[in-house]
Amino acid sequence: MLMRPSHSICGNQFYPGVSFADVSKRYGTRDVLRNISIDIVPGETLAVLGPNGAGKTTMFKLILGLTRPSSGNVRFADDDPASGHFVQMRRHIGFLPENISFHDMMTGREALKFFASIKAVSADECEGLLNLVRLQDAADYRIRTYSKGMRQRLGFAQALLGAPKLLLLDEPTTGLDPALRQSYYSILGRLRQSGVTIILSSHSLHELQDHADRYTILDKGRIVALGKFDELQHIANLPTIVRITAPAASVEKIPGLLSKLNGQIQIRARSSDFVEFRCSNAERANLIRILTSRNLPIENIEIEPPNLNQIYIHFTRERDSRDLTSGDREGGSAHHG
Amino acid sequence: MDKIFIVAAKKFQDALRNRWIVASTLAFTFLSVTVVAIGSAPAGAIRATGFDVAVASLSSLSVYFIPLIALMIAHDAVVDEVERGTMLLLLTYPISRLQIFLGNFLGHNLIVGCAVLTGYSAAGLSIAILHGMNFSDLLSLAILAGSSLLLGGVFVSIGHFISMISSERAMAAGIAIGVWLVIVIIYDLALFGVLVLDQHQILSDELFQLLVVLNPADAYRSFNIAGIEGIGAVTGLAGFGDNINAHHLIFLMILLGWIAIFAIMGFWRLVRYEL
Repeated sequence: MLMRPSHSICGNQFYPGVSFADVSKRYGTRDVLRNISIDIVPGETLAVLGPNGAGKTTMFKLILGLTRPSSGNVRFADDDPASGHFVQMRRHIGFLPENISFHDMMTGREALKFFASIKAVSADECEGLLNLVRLQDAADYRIRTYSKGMRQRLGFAQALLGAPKLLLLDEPTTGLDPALRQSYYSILGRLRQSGVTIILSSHSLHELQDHADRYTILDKGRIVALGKFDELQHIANLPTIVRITAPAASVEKIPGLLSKLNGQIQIRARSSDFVEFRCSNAERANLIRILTSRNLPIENIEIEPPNLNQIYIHFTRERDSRDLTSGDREGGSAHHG
Repeated sequence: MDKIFIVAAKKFQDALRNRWIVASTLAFTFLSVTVVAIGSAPAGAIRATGFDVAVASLSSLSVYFIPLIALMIAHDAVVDEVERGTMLLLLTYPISRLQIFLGNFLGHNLIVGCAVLTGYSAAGLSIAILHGMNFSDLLSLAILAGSSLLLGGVFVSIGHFISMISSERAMAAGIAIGVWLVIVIIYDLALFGVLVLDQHQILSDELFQLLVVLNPADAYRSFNIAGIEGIGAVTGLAGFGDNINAHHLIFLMILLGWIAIFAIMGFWRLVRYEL
């Protein structure tokens, strides 16, 4: 786990972090979060992954002080979000909820200005944000005429009001077409560079690859994995797919050559002009070394390492099977930070 | 403080866009002018002036209409925003729940105020044309308007509480209609029914009067009727009015008490509300 202070002051700049210390949240008899401990350091981008009902949104609500933990502590900039005086700290937080909604009868500009006035942000900033999310032309239409993507963009604009130090984005790319997603991630990239702490959740897992510093996978209210992408990849130890395209004569020789690797490489698919293997990350280098040492006329080698989607499925499935075998044991074996 | 006004202004703007609220304000205005005009018809041997009759008619109209408008505006103040998801977003902003509550309350009372002002201005103008109006008449009308604002405040307060205890808008609307029926119509009928059946055996006069004025609609009615000389003859509540003539302050306190109790309960629910 990265151990850095939960907030730091550099000159006049205020960089808050977020920490969860053994946090559990129960609604009635349902455990929504169980023993969550995580430090999100200032300037970090954390991606929170998990199936529906895993507790992602509850994490956001706890940071915002909308609900209190049943046990444990949540801190934002060393302050308790559930305390009365935390209200003023909220000016440092931008939040985009899942399924954002506004008053349909207002125009986009009116809605943004309303929220800006509560955050004591100037009207000029609203215009800049409307341009940033490319809503300037639709700003004077009533929100009820907006598409899902337009509402989402307006939601993103309101989250950015007042240049927040902490951005909480719950399923931010829902309803955005690929071009808008791309522009959204480029805005996010600029925010990351400027030192904003970002926590975002998404179902589009492969999309988040390269857009976060660390990833955490929640399942049934527990953290089942936490770490940088390559760390998760390492822990999951998922096979890499290697596909070799070559003339038929060479393809026939390849399985024989690879039998020296003690069966750790499995043939996944094969035809007259290609062969596809599944191998561990460690074996991948050996495989390529053997193939190149024999001077076979190979036309192409494609290597497909496990992506975030596969890693995600690995951890959530692993949890399912462990639940079946060992009951309610703490899911910490994949915990890494 | 400015955040309270921001929320109030938004609530006010929302209401102006609500056709139902605009329509009921117009209906109230139309009926106010109508009762003034009808009330000016020759009144036979009754010793009441045209102005007194007009004011009595206006207060009778208001006792039905103002609670209706206030409840219509306030009954879904919170539940509507929770259902839409806009409350969640607002609560993540640097604004306290007290500021949200007071903003809603102020905004909704401003709308009721506008409805009262529109209706009574039109009625006042009609009275001035039909009967003429001196300063004391104007003052009486202003007092009637002021007490109507308090009556509106009571039902805005009750409406906010309803909006906090309802899990969905339809439920809030149902409760609001029920509350209106019970307080404005059924309560008096039931009380008179009990009085007739009881034959003064259990219900003493004092207890009966207390039960009457504890109802905010009756406290409002009593306040206005007791204030007008000779009006007992028009309303048939002469004896009752005489007894309570000195108790204006009590009627006002009762109205303020209703506002305070439901405001406190509504705010308490909002503070404890977990999304």
